[in-house]
Amino acid sequence: MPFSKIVFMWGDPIYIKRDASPGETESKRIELETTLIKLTEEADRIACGK
Amino acid sequence: MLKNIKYILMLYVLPPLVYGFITFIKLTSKLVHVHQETAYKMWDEGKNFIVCFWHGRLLMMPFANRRGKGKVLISRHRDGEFIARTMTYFNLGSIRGSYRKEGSISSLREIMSDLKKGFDVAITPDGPKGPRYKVKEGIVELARLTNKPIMPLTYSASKKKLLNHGIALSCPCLFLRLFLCGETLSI
Repeated sequence: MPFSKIVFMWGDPIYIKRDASPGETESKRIELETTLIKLTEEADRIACGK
Repeated sequence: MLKNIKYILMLYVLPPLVYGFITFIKLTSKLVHVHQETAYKMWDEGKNFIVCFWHGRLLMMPFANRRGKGKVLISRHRDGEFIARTMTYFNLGSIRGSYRKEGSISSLREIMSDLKKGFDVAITPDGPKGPRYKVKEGIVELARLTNKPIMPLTYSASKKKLLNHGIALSCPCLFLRLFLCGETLSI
């Protein structure tokens, strides 16, 4: 909606080595997923002023 | 005939309207960036990255791109063409491609070459078909192959309407309907 408070929430960069094993790659995938979920929850919280 | 009208609306009439509407939201709102220092520092050092945000949180993202050298991965579907055209108003390029069934990304070569040229490439890891809030392996594989970091990013608004697919957009009913008939953001 217009006249809102819009909060952009940045995370820390995630690096994946070129020689990462499938297991390492999978754990980075999960890390990215949990980071994005957490950031979004936090952004919702800040935007709503809680 | 009806199809033609829809086509003209979607490709020529709606993109500038949507651009105007999103800009209107931006101009009347207060934009706050949190924890942006690392990304800004990387931009200042001339480094680019893969920007990653949920498909449901894409509406205001053009305003996060302070550097202005970005491209967005957009589906080859007709709706994608509408989004690609809207992006040009924000000075953002597009790469047409999507996730394959097994979760890998098509158009990999184009994305890799754009990353090499210094563009930031924005990808929604769960979109547009979902499953929602699930990261598919394609984006991680891309980061591994290109040696470019993934920058997680999201946004929220104090006044928003969360729709079925969790699109954090909020707009008067008229516009909402406009979005819906255009099937634009896979609402």
